[in-house]
Amino acid sequence: MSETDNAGERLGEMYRLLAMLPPATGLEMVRMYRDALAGQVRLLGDALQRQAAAESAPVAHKIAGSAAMMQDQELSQAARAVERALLAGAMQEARSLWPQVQACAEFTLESLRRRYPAAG
Amino acid sequence: MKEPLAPGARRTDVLVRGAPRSAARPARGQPRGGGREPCLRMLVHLAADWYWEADASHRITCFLPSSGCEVRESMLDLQPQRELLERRRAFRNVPLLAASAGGGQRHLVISGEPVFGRRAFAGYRGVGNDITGYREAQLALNASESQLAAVIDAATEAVITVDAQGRIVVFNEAAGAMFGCRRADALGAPLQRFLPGALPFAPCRDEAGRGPGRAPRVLACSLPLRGVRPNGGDFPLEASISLIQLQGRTLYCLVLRDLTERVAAEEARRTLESQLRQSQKMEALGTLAGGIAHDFNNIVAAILGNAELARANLQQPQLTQVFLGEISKAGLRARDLVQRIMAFSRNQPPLFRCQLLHPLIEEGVQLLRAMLPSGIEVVYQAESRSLYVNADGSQISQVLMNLGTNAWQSLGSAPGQIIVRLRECNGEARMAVTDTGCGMDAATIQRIFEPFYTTKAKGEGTGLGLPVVHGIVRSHGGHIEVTSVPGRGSTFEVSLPLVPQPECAAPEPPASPAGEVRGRGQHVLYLDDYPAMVFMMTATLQARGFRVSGFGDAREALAWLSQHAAEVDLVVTDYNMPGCSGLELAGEVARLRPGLPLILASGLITEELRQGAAKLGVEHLFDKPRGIEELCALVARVLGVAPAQGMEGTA
Repeated sequence: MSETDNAGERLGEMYRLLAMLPPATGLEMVRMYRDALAGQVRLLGDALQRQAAAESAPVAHKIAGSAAMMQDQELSQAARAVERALLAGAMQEARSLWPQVQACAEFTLESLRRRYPAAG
Repeated sequence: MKEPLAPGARRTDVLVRGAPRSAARPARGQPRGGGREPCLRMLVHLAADWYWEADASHRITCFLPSSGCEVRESMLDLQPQRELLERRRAFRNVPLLAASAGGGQRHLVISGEPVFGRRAFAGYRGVGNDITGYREAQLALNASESQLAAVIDAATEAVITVDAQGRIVVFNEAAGAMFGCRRADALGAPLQRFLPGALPFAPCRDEAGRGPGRAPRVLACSLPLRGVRPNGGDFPLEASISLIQLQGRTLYCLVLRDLTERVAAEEARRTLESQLRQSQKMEALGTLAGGIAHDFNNIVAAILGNAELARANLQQPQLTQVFLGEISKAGLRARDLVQRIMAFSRNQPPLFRCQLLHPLIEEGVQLLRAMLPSGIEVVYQAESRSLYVNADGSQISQVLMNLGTNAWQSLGSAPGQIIVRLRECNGEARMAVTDTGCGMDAATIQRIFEPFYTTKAKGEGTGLGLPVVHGIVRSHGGHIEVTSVPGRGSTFEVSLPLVPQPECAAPEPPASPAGEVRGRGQHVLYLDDYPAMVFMMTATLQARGFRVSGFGDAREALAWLSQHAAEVDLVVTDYNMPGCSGLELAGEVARLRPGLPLILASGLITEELRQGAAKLGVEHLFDKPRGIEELCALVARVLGVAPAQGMEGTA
């Protein structure tokens, strides 16, 4: 399966959601979501590296919630798993789950970049 | 044989026993040309510009400059330092101003150690340096910094610079005026205090320390943000943000523009435009009132006539069925006409959607046919039916109505033909309305888009129809061209940019397909501290016919709601927000307007949340993972909007 097919399968619902908006609005949405997601992922990675649980949990929650709203279920579930581990006080487990969040986020960001090059 | 002296050196006996000897007289027992003297000279050359000695009366008795030193012994005058020297203590880096031979001044620093002979103070010895170059460079730097600071302060736009930790290091006067805050109070404060929503661009730690001297990089241009003043008030602004790296230090420079006036003016303009379009719609309907009345007369006549015939033929059921069928057809025509008029006259906010143009024009043509007198034939020629545009359907209808009405009026009382044509040309969709009426001369064509310009008699038209058309076409990114020949007719051709089909939703007619919920302008307040979600939900709900006020901050939303509570039909809020949770907000909303429906959305609905919601009377909890479409459907259900069922259900 090509990368495009793979992205279509994983993010098809998100693409369909974005397609419902007027083109200019959709591009702006892609830009905003992409910038916000990149920033949130950086924050979470940094906080997990410092083992700052109080800082990490809300960020993981936000990533999970917004990814779910955008129909990116894989990223949402990965971030939710990190959040649950943090809330349970299992920092090491949360850190072990971080690469999955990072990989899902990078997949989403790259897919959006390929599909919406006009979003910059 | 005397040894040669270094440049500027003086043959002078050193007065103090044990002190270094001059080059002219080596120390007793020391060989000529060797020993401590050459060593001393080398050290002085390396460490200072000159070596000096003074007697107990503070007169220079030895002056040994290094090569290249521009200071001469004659320039040194220790008398002004007399008070310092009389303390007979060591001193370091005492500044001295000396007049040079050229008339200028040189900045010097000298250091010295007291020298004691047999129980008596004998004078001083020390070193000195010419720091004139350094002082001049420092003054130039100070002047440059002062000039730069003055330039930044003179800027009419607010300039704020933050370091890699997000702390403010530059805050110019315009920023102080914008935020109502003194510079001293702002410096060192976190940027979030003034720009809470600046998080998306938040200083990137991985950018820090990447090396000195990289050219500034623009991170954002015209980024919309909300500024917060110390008194709690907030306002819209836009920011241009650049990343600067200077000598290993990372800085972010923000240039801010207050958009309060612009936003207010834009809102006022939109309101006026909307009012103008709506009033012009009413004017168009009024213009066509005669035709509409005539049509209804025909319908009523058909109903009454066939009812009479049916009554007279009750004994012949088959014949009665025919007459009843005609009554039913007439009724359906009437209902259809009413629906079209109501759809046309409805005042709703603009809804731009990527959609096929052909169905919009087809519907407009049907409306024209229904409203124009029967002697006017409206012909529709669609050369292409698959042209996609980003358009508001009701505004396209208004364009067609206005152009059709004008075409009809140009025909006068005579029967005639109006041709509506749709084609593609040069990447544009072109809709032309052609009549065989009286036409216009060049002078009239020049003015037809001027507001209030009309060729009709007083009281027969306001002259707003074509200006409204022009405004609508422009707002759609298009243009309009007019060709006309007096006595032969006119053609108005509207061109709209085409949109590629793959970026559009699946093709759908302008009427709502069965099952999709559509609002009728109900006002939803949406709150989420994640800006991208506010944007997405606002755009999605607006596309479905709802009016939306979106907020990223609970305090801001409540402040607005306290002024506009009566206008809002539903509040949708996120639960997990900094500073004020969705439950706390729900309590405040209930206080501001009891009974206002509220939907609380959360990514994780716990039992605690359910109980808290129940206590506050929050009836609707939404599980975010279900997605935006389901949230939109819940919004529609709470507002009592049934799924559309085609034109039948829209009257």
